[in-house]
Formats: sequence, structure tokens, C-alpha cells
Amino acid sequence: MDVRGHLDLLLLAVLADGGPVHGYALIAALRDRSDGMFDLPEGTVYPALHRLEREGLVVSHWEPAVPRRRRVYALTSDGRQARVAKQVEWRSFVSGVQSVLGPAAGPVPA
Amino acid sequence: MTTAQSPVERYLDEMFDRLAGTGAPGRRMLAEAESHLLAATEDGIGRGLDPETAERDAVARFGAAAEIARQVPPAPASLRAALRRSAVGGWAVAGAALAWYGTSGVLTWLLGRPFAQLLVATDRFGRDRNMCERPWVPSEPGLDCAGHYFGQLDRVPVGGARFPFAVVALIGIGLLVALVVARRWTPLGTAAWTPAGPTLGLAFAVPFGFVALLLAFYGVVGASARMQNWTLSYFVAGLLAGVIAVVAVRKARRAT
Repeated sequence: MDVRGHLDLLLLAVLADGGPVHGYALIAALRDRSDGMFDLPEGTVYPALHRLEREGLVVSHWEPAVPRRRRVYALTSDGRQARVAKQVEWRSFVSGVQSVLGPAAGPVPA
Repeated sequence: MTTAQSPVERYLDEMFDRLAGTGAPGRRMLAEAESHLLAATEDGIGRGLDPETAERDAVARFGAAAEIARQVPPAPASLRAALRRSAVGGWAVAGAALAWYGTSGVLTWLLGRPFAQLLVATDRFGRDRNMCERPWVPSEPGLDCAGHYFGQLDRVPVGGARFPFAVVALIGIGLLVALVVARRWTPLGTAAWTPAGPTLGLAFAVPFGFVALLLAFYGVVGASARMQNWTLSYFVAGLLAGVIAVVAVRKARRAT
């Protein structure tokens, strides 16, 4: 599934629920929590995280670790507010789409 | 641990090349990519893969280096960086301008004969009725009336019928193709040489938009009283310039 339009919300949600986490673990959490549905190219997450950091929604620092250092990301207070706002926006969008689609339909007749 | 020319090292080498000109954000991206790929390789080995397969799997899951590097913003502009980006932007604009001017000549030539036939049929190329029956038309016995007027049409707005429009179109298209190839295979495709999307869009939209309006205005003037020999070329070139300007504006808006 193409998640590029919603990647910001997904990243903010994982960071909000998981606390400070490094990029590799964040991507694994995203994949696990979506049951593999959001199996996006892993490298694309880093530019998205950098952009969120430029916007002041996340902060990061290098953490010395064995066998190698890792960049750890955490949500800022603005990031927490943005997560809530984006989540409300997403739920409104889903509700609107659901209203248009109507109740779940069965198989399309041939 | 990776060996020389291992999949991860080849990937990081490619990403290093692609990130040229991105400064600190690029260095950070490269460091995080290396950390991620080594962690993913270790995970793969832990799942029972051999080291080579684990590295290939990690690289494949990370995504294309070109696509990721494109998302890293360029370093703040220095004079050298500005000159590099201006050179590439100038190349693109020059190629597009030559292709536009020459192509408008080709299209005018293609449309010229039906246009001349329409003028003859509607007597719009002269003041008098029966424009094909006057003594001065045609001077060459074997030439039909529409062919005579077709020969009088200018192919390009400035340059007349003898302008080598087809050659100019080919030169312009050649410049654009060469730019695409150079950006695909050389450092010209890196962020250091890539003009900002909105800036490049404006560099196309402003001159082409202005020229489109100007040519359309003169095209209307040329068609208003009695049809002038340059009217068709003005309309065709103006329309093409307008299309280029609209596409440039849309791309610039998408890039912001």
C-alpha cells in the first residue's frame, strides 16, 4: 500500500506511542504494527524524519551504542500536538470516505 | 562485516555520489543509511541468511539510492552551487527555447497549406474578391493559387520562410536529450547541479508566458483587418509557448 501521503502521521504515531527510538526500530515498528501492510522502502523514512525535525516536530541525537552509534528520534511537544491534529484530520477523512462508500458491499456481480 | 565491493558498500558508494552538494544533511543521511544497512544485514544473518544474501536483502529493502538522495535537500546556496544550478537551468531553458522556436516552424509549415487553402476559400488574404483571379497570381504557371499563398507564409515569427526551423528544432531537442542523459549518468544529476523546482519553473514560465501573450496579441492584430503572412506562425508559436508556460507553472506549484 502506498503510504507516502500519510507517512508523517504514521511516524508521529509510532514515536508518540513508542517513545524515543532509532530509525531502524521505528521502521520495524511501523511494519509490525501494520501487519506488514506498510512495507515501504526503508530508506525513504529518513528524509521524512529529517523533514519533521526541520519542522520542529521531532528532535534527534546520536546515541553511542554497540556495535555502532545510532540516531535516536523523539517527539517534541509541537510534534505531539501535530500528531493529534493529523489524527483528527485523518479520522474525518476516513469518515467522509466511508459515508460516500456506504456499508461494506459483497463481491461485485459479474 | 562487509568485504570490499560488497552490496552494502557499493550501495553506500552510489549514495555518496548521489548526495554530492547536500552538505551536512547528506552526511547525516549517509551515516544513517550505513547504520541501518549494517543493522539490517546483522538481522538477516540472524535469520539464517548468508552474509552476501543478507546484504542484498538489506539494500533491496532500503530502496533506490537515487530516489532517497533526491529527497535530501541541497546545502545552503554558495556562489559555486548557484553557478552550477544556473548552468543546468540555463541549459534546460536554452534547449527548450530552441526546440520551441524550431518546432513552431515545423508546425506552421505543416498547417500552412490547409491554412492557405482556407484563406483562398474565404478571400481573406487580400482586399479584393476573387483573389486567385488577379493578374499577379500566380506568377509561376504551374503553381496553384493556394500553393502561391502557402509560399508567402512566414514559418517562424521572426526569421521568415527561409529560417532553418527544422535544424533549430533538432538542435534544441538534442540539447534536452543530452541534458537528460548527462543527468542520468554523470554528477549533473546530483543535488549540487539541480536547480530548485520553483526557481526552474519560474525561469520557464515567465519568459514563455510573456512571449505567449505577446505573440497571441500580434496574431490577433495580424488576423483582424486582412490576414498577414506572419499571422499563422505567431499563433502557433504563441500557443506552444503558452503550453510550456502552463506546464512550468504546474510543475513549480507541485515542487513547492
